[in-house]
Amino acid sequence: MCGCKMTMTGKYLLFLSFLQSLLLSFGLYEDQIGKFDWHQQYVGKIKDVFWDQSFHAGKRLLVSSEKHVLASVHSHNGSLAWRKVLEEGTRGQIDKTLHSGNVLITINGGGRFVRKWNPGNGVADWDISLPGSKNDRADIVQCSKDLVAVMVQEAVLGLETRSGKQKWSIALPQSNQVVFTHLALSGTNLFVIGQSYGQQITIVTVDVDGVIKSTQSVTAPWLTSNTKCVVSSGGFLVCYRHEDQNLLTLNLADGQTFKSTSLQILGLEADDGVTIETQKKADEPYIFLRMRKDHIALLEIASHGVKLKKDLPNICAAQIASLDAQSMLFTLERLTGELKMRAYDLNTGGEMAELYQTITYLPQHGFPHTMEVLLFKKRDLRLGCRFAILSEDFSMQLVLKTGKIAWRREEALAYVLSVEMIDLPVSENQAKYEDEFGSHRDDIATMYMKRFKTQFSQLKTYIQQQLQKLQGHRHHHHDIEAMAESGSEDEDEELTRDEFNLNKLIILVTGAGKIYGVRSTNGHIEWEHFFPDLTPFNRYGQQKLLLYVQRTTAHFPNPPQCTIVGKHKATGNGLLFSFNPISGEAVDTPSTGQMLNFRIVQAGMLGELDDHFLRGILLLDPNDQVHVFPEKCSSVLKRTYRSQFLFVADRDTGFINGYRTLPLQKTFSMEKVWTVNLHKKQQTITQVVGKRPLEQVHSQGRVLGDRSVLYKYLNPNLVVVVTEGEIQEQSQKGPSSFINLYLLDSVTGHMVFHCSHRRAKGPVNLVHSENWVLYSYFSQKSRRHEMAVLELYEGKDQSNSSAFSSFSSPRQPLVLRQSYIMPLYISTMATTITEKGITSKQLIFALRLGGLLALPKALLDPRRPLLPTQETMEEGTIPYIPELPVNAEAIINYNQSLFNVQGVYTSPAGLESTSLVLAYGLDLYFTRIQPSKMFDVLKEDFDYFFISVVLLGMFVVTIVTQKLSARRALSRAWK
Amino acid sequence: MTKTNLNLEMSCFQLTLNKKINVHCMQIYPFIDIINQYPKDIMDWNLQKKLKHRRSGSLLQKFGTEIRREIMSSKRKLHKWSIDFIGHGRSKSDKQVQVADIRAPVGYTENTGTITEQSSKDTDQKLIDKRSWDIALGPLKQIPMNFFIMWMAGNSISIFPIMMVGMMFFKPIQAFISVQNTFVMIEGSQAYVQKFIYIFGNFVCLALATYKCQTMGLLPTHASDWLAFMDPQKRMEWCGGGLVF
Repeated sequence: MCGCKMTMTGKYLLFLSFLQSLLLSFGLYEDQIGKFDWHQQYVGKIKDVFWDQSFHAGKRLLVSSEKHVLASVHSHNGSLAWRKVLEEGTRGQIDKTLHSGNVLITINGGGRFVRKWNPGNGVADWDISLPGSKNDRADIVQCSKDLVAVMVQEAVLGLETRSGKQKWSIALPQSNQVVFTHLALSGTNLFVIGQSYGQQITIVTVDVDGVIKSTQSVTAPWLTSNTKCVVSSGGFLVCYRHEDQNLLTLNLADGQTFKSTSLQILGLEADDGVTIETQKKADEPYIFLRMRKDHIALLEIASHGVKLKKDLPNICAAQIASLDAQSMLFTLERLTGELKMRAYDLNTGGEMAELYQTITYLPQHGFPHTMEVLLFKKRDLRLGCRFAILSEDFSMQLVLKTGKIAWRREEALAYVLSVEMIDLPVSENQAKYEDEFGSHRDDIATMYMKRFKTQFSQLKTYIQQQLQKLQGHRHHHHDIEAMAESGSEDEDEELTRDEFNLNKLIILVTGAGKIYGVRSTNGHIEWEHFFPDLTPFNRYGQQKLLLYVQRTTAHFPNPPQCTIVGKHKATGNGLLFSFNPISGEAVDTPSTGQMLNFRIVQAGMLGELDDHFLRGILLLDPNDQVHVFPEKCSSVLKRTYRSQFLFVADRDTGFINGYRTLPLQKTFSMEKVWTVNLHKKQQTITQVVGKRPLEQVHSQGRVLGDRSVLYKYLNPNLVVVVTEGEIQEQSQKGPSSFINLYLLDSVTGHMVFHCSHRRAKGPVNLVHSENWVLYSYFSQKSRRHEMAVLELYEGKDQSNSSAFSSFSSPRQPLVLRQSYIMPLYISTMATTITEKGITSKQLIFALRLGGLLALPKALLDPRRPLLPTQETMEEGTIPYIPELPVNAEAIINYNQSLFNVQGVYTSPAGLESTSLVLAYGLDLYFTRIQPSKMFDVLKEDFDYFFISVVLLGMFVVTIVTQKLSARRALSRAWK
Repeated sequence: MTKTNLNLEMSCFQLTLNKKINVHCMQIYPFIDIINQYPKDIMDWNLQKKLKHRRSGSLLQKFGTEIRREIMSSKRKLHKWSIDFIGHGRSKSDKQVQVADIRAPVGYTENTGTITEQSSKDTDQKLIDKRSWDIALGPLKQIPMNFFIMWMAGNSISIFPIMMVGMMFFKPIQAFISVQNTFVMIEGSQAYVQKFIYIFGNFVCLALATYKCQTMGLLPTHASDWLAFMDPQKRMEWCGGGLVF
């Protein structure tokens, strides 16, 4: 008993000391903050934007976004004053934002929560929870200074603005069909509008004191769930009927029937996507009818129908703003490279020349769609305006001074779907060097001349650099302020590779259809492209935009090349765009992207490079035809079609099909070679995860305690298929869910391994690398998050040490597995990757709490023994303890919390010890980590001075003592 | 310099006169003849012996003319005056001449020297054999000691055991390097056997060190030791795909 205790204590002590040694390396010194890492905060696509009118009037903008974010943005530089990230899922979605004066109230989660915020600091003043609506429709209006009315599906409530206390509540008449959608205030009456699709519209009139005045119904047999209806100021309900292009208006106060007005009568031509936009600020019953991206019509609504107030062709954004009872219409027109802003007096219809301005506007923002104007009187009593522009690419820009964009926020960066990090090109000198080795046809003399020239130019640049350094130090201090003013673009030096290849260009492909090239040093945008027609593949809510690196920077003089594979918004066909990732210029494809004439079912990359080191892309269309992009790579496929395979997992049918390529005359087709049925009825495929295609594995095996080798099962074609499902168990009351994992050889369809977790639930996060698979799930049995790891080994002998073929693959691999308790909820995870794969791996977990936790793979090792023995200690395995340790020092983003992390991308750097990490989601966070500490570079706190002083001292002492001893020897010789 | 040296010599000389003879006074040589003129019993026998070993021609040239003359006259056969004190040189004739001049010191007998010489000549061959055997068996004799060190050092890999193992390797290797010199010392009839035994002993030492390395796990004898040099497996098939887009 006692001995057992002793061993346990010993075990823990051993473990703790081991952990200490492991974890100490992660710590960061205070002065290293922001040195290798940067953090960018975003809010997502902005739904509503308001000028803050409270204490910070005109100095801040309040925004609410579809990413469940409420934030305040400084108007002078676009940085966030505060940001509130609300819950994920429907609970956190912002249904409606009410802002007037000092009041900022949001309704979240379909009326589940009503929250009042302090616009100054983002603190929630009060928060009440309501039953919420079934269909997530809720509305809010401000009735008076201290009363707001909130509509949820079942009721209308009057809330005190100050405290959120409920003043009154009215139950709404419920019937099966009626869906209450709008709440409007007109005069002293509140109108609650309910829609019964295909039947009628119900209008409940409520007094501001909470008394139902009347309930009436207006027949509207044309009403469908797609009908767009708005309530304009003045108490009119306006609906647009798409079928016959009619606008239907109803006076809420006394109207009995809808009055219809055809667009043709108004002289407007309608497209498919006509939308109605209301004006929050105008008191007059005006609405905007958006015909196209760049055509808006201003309509005035009266009780007898709709009148065209002003047709605004070529106008892409408009707003009515008023100051001192003067209403003005502001319009934005997009021309090439600039925006024209015009203002009209609404009463007279005349243009106000003093407010006219042109603004330089980059074409990669697409069309602006919303503007938010702040009108003010300058000191000389002339009118002035500031306005925010929201554009198609989710960006927000602000015009503070006439004609100039003060700043922009690229909110598309909150929608990153694919990431790659590209090596920067080598410097000019280095390139010359490479050039020298590139050509083999030169004779000795020319090669010698080349070498001489290169070295001479190297010497020249070195001297120039040294001179610049000397001069630069003098200028430096003056320049700092100038640089700060001129902005980020000017200060960036040219893109060349650094000594250790630590700086990369990060290619970010976003769901907004925008692509960015971002510097990894500071997060500045190097180039950007916007494709209005590009949308991600979207299946069951899993958005995918593929980014392939066809050629890396390593093949000088061939430029690097990347390709994006996405979907055309309108047709659903494939849309490709190839570009040079360093410069951002289009290659092979037009700059708007190349539209294909088929739908893309699956895509993959060719195994072999072509003569110019370009890796082709395989695209599978629904007719099992394979297309190679670019066309010139088909010769490669023709040559290597025997070793090229493709597999497709279909979630709809539960089938996984494997194909091989067959060359036809000019094209290629796919022949089905294997099928796996995962029984759709019982379970659905949720994930298919392969390895990173170009991952380097340095060590082919694992050394055991007795110094024998356990060879890894390194099947590059192995994929993990995750399925989730539910079964009815007899002992249980409800259905219990389960998770299945299938390890499949994607070439042959051979089922390498299968395991099942009962009473476990997704979402499953999975990392597949080298010879191991790590996944997390929620255990319903013990109600906690668990982490399981599978490691595959061939055994003590390796069947074929030189090549791996799935057709002659080794016998059933040895699968070791273990599971652990993850004390925290994680949103995603990834593993580090290094240049040669020598450095031990670390796992990065994105915690819901906002941290990025880095744990060594040794903690998630199925060979961790239950009882440590001499042999396991020799092997270096840590004794098994089910809980994974969460150490504050292992949080690599220290106190910079990250919200809604969607993915973590890792990339090797030129240093073997270092891996670059980018976490994306609502925020972008970039840092570098050293899983095995920095073993290949001296630490930056290395004391060069001390070492050189010691060395010099030793040298001096050696010389002096030598002299002394010689003298002594001589004098001794004389004795 | 000469002056000071002379002074030194003088003081040395005075010391000799006072019977406190400093045997380290090299500078006394020029005065030897002067010393010789003093009664022989003043002279310490030991001093004479020492002086025999400290022959130096160059110093002698620096000194006073009289002395120099005396020395110069016998410069060619400088060893002659040293033979004075020992009494057995190679040149018999010289000895005869000199010995006649110098009286033997008190308690000195000619016989003792000859006796020892004769006895050593008899045992020379034995000694050489013994010495050679000592050399030849040296490495083998170290083996028990090495075993003890090996046991003491243990199998853990740390600086101390590594140093021990290093020494164990170093000694035989050093012996092999200087084997020519050692073989010169080994003489006698059994030289070949001794040489063989010497080499054998060193090989055994080396083997012992290797064995120690083996037990410590320093020898690359396992597959795991060559794992880092294995190339990654070449990929034969390429496969892409995933869920339907």
